[in-house]
Amino acid sequence: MQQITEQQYLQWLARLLPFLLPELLLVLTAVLIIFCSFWKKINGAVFFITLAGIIAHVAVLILSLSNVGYYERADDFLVFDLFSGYFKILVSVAAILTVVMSGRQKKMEYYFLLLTILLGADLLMASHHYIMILLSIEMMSIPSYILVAGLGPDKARAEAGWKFFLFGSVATAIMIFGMTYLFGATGVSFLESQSFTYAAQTHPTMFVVGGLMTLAGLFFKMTVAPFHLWAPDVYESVPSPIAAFLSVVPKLAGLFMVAKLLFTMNNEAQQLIDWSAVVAGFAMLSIIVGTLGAIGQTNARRMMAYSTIAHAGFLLTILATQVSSDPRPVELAIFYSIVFLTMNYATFMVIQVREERGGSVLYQDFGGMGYTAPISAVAITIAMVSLTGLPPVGGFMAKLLVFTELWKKMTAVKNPVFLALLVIGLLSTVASLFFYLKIPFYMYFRRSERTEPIKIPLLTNLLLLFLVALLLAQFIVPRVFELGY
Amino acid sequence: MISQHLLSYLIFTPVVAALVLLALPNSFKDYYKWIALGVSGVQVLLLFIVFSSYNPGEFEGFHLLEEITWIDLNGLKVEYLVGIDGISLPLVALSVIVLLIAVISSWNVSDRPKGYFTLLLILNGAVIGSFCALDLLLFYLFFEFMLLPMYFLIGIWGGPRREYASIKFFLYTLLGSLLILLVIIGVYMSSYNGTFDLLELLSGEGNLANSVFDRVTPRMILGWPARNWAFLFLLIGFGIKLPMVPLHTWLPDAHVEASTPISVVLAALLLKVGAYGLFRVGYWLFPAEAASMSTLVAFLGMLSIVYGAMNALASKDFKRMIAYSSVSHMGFVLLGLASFTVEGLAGAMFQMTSHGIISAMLFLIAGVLYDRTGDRTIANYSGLASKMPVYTSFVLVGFFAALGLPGLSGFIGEIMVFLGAFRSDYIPGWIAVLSTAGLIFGAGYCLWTIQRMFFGPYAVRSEGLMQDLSMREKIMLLPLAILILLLGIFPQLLLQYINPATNLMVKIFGDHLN
Repeated sequence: MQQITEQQYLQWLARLLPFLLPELLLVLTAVLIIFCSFWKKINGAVFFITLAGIIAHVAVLILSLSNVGYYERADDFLVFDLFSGYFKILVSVAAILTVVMSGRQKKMEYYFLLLTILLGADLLMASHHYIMILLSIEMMSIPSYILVAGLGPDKARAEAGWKFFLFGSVATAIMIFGMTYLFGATGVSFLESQSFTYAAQTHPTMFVVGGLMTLAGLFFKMTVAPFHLWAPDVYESVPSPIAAFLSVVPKLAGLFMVAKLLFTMNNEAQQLIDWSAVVAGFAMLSIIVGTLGAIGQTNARRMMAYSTIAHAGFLLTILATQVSSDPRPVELAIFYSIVFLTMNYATFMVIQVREERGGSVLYQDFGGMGYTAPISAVAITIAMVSLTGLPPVGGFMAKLLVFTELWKKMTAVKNPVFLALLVIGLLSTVASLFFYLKIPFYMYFRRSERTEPIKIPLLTNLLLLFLVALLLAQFIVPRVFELGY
Repeated sequence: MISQHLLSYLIFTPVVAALVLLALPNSFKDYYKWIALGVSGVQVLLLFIVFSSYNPGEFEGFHLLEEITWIDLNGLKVEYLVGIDGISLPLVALSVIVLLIAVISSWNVSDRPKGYFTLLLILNGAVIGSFCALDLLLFYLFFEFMLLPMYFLIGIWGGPRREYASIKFFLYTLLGSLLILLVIIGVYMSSYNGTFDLLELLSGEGNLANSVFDRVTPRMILGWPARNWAFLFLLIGFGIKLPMVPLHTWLPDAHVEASTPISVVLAALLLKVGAYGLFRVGYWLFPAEAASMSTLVAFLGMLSIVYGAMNALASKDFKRMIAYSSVSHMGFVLLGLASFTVEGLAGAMFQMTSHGIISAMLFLIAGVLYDRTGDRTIANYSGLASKMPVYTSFVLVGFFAALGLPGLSGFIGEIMVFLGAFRSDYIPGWIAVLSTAGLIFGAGYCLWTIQRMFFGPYAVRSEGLMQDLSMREKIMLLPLAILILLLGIFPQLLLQYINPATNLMVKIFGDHLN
């Protein structure tokens, strides 16, 4: 190994700094709010500092992404590229929405944990090395265990937290095991195509087992069946802003990592196993489990948990349609993620509105909201239409594009698994209408005893209208949301 | 200027009006219906301009074309392409008239009028849009767009079992439309240029070598050519909407539960969108497959005609009987399509318009009774003719048209379909012969109902003031009765538009089949 001089090291750091700046801003914000919490007088500033920190983070990201040729590789550890940049922006937007939804009432720890999860997700998007992947996944997971378990005496939350923690640690352990196999088979500790090709020839069993186990760990984050068992309990017991956050951020981060792993493992020279067919199989299972699971639910949050499981299946489907170096599935994954984020947040925001006025969110609790809270009712109806995948909203465009890509893959590869996936995707859309319509159904078709309008903060209404406008725009001018890769 | 975007004005006036209506505060609630009426008035005016600028002899094919690239995303190109030919023009006209009447019929809606008229206006735009769209995906979007408003219109303003009926309607139709979507994606993927443009697809569909719908070397799926699957999917998808026995079971429920104006729109227009779609997408893109499956289509048509009529005969509920008569009459459209002859196709198209008018009239007639007593049981009425002579005369026109009395519009459509069916090389003779049984059953249920309800001694076994038609009801029924008579005596009024288009289609089919 050659010696690196101090000067070379400093130059290297200077080159890297602009790329790491967004993440550094997050760290800075986190440190700042800890200090703020020391003095009672400026306790209230925590909310604003957090918000400002994340907004600055997004602003810097957007600025640096708009530079031509945004690409940097820090040895084998971190890679900064456009694809990861877009996903970072998406998860940060989710974080902003969560902070706004949470309001100013929360303690410093809450924002701190949110920031840490965001930082973990951000770093995961840039990770290239097994150690980095592992560290960032843990950085994302451990705060979420605490956030879910909560700091109070709530029994249901503690149970959900334990479940989440136990499942999560086992999933991470499996992933570490898988990574050691991959390391053993490839001989390198980061993601590199040639070494995978080599591993497929020399150590086929280790390569397949290691790959599967590593994917399993990521699938846990994405709530892909059969690693989804924690999701319904967690989504049911945590506050709505966190539920929305957990339904989007770890999923997108996991999706990104699966994409990266898949594209490295599945290069053309590697003839051993078609990983995209494997992913398609998991996608199919996820869609089936998510759809069937949601049908029997009576609680809006549990229904949403199963809905995100099904949508994780659709997100995986996009990755499975990748044919060699065609960038389109990647662009589609970004588009789908934008739509997914918008509709999930719109839904959870209305669930929060309902919850703040009387605890439970069984379907019948939404009764009559179409007349007492018209804007919320319209927003959740449109979000549900979008989740089903009907026009005139973004969800339709997203699903249409998924089916189109799938058809293309089906024509190119004569593997029956893709035809089956297409058929199951379509059938699940019909079946999902049944449960997605339940909330609008109760809102409009059932009256509640209370008929006076529910008072909703102006900010919530404006945000809901904004999300609805976004969903409509994703249908009418989808071009705007297509980010070139 | 106005003639350049005539169809867009026709489609989007109601949509814009719906948005305006949504923005109006509740204190304007007495004016909502006037806005809806105003929109229909504007549409009638636009329709006159459409007719005056449409000259069927001028050229073959589509008139009033408008084309803009709408979506160009991820390699997916969708065009906003609208235009009309002799097949869609009568349906557009029918839509405008029926929707106008639906607004008048909704005049007394007082329960949440804002939502009601907004949804009705959106439905209006979607129906006309789907008759004008010439881009496959655009058509599909308009087609889907009708679902949600209809779901709420049945589910909120419907009868006692409205919730069951509306969700059944939604699930059935969505299942069908996803089958259609599957085929549409396949067609797009199998076209040489990657297009949804129907005009281009007519020659270019299935051109891409090694694609799933390749015309030259067909791909087999489960031992059957992919293109045959495609036509079968379209047949099921549009057949649900049509409705075609045995996929019709949502229809009686939806009709019985829906309020009168919604039933009118459902029967007169939404069923037509199904038939129109089957023709425009299924027959247009897969003529050879359609021809090879003609026996199946004709058999299902025959089944719909006979089974629908028998059910109508057995119905105890007045509205249910009319709903089943719709199933029966739409069977003629299938039979006509399956014949692949000029007479059959033109007959099917004529039957669509004619049934649109007749079914609108019949459902209004059922609504008149329901408004007075809230009871639709046939057995509870008799001798209405003595108390309600004007009503009875309209009933007679409607029912005689439904049973196919010469001189009324129903006769023309049915006789042309039968001419086509008996002459066709694609339909076995026994199917055509069995279909005629539908005529006998049809006469049976029409005459029997008239006899039971309107003649004999006067007796009404339910509460309510039985008075003759009000002015508003006359205004709704009179134009429909006039149209039925007019089209029955001068079918040429419609056929001058339909014939050139069907001639062209038969010529194109001939090229494909040989």
